[in-house]
Amino acid sequence: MKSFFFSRLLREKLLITALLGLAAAVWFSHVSRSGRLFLADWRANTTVLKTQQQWIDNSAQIQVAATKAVDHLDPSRTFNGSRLLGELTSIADQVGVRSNTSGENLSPQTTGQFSVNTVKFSVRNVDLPAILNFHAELEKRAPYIGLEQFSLVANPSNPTLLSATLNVSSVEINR
Amino acid sequence: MSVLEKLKQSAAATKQVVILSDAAFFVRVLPVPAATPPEEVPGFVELALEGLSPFSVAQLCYGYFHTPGADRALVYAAYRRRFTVADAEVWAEADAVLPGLAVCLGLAPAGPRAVLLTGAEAVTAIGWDGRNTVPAVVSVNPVGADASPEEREAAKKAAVAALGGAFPEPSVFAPPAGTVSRVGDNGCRFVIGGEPVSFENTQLDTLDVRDKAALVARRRERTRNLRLWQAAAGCTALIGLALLLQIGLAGGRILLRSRAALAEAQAPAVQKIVTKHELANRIQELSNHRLMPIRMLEIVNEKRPRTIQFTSATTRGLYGLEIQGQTNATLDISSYQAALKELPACDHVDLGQTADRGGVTRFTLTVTFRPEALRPPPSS
Repeated sequence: MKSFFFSRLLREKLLITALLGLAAAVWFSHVSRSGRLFLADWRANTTVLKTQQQWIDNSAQIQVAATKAVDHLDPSRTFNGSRLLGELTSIADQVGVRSNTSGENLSPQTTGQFSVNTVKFSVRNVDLPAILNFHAELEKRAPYIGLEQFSLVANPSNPTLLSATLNVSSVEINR
Repeated sequence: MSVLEKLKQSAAATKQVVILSDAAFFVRVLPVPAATPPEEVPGFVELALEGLSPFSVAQLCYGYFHTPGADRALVYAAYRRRFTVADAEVWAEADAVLPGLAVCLGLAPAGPRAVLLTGAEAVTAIGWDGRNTVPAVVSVNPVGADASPEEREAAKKAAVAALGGAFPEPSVFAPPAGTVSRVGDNGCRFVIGGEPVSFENTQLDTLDVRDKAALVARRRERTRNLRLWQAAAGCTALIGLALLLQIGLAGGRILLRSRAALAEAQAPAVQKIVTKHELANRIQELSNHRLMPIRMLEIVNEKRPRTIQFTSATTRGLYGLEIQGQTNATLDISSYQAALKELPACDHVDLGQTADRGGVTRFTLTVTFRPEALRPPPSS
């Protein structure tokens, strides 16, 4: 190889060296770019696998915690989505604001063992005592029914009338 | 011998050295002043040759041997016309052109030694006195190519006699055979009488009998070619490295694909675990951390000036309440904020957007309560 190179004319030597240099530069820059991308993908994949492994490693603990979370609840007193909505309308009925309410089920979060159902419930244009009574009745059903968000707005034309919007959740144990 | 050394040797073996008969040269050992710097030795040799030879230096093929610090130099020269055009053509292709005796100069013994070089056209005696590496005595005794054994024996005796009695019994060597010698990038290696003899390129240039200016040009060309070769070899090595990296990356991508497939396969099971964890936390929160909006309103209402009316109140998480209110006494807003801050139940109070229109100032106040202030009563 060396003797072949030395036996070439100067311009051929220069051309060979220049072509080799160009090829090396182009290829090496391509490989280094691919290498950087590969390293980034590898690191991202490693992070995902590590995180997944941590969840898998902790799954037994999470299972224990999940069991413990619902252990003190009586399955017969838990509410599915429609029962929750029914319970809320029943409370509204009880405090005398049934005609001023509306409610809708939001999509539940479910595991095989239990579900959390959420209802967005509104009570419109009622006085403060009615709201307080409604809230007090709701409190009595804890921890099977819990309030997750509460919003109270005064009627602009009549500030004594209030509208409340509540996000109410219930636990449902699937046994 | 390592593979690398073998490869190096085989690559170097293609170079050629032309060995000339000693009979063509007259040889002299010249005293060199001890203080002569190495760069002045060529000039000194040329000057000496001008004095020794009836021809000008330009008409001579000459070479010399001198080592730094040596107090003498060995000079050999031949009339240029003794060599034919055909010889010159062969020389142009060669890496070095030397008389046979020049090869023996590389023996450089540490002590006194004598060598008898018995060539086809000459018997050369070389004697070192051990003071330095330049021989003290060199005697070339030409013999005819068709000389009888008796004549050759007589030439040998004359050569030994020329050495005098100051040297040990001479070793008898034949001149290096053939024109091919092992030559590396930085010099030559000969084997003479079983002994290796090495010369560096700078030494070879002084020993070489060809035109010195042409040799300098050859040296430049050789250096340039070597640099180009090193650059080409470096680029080739980079291409090789890039190829290896490319292969490594391809292997890595296969591995990465299998890891990505594993992550994808695990994802649904992991998602189930995550959901279970989130729901367990949510149930814990529902059971243990109840949202207390009415209690929050009671707390903020305690210090509310009569001039301020709430228009809405919305919970933010378990312990936050965002109040929108209005007043026609703007200064009361900041005094109300200050009063809320002083309440032990409030962690911090932030006044948000405030706007005034038609004498009514509307404002937003975000209150964050301390958890202990909102602790629910024990559940039955």
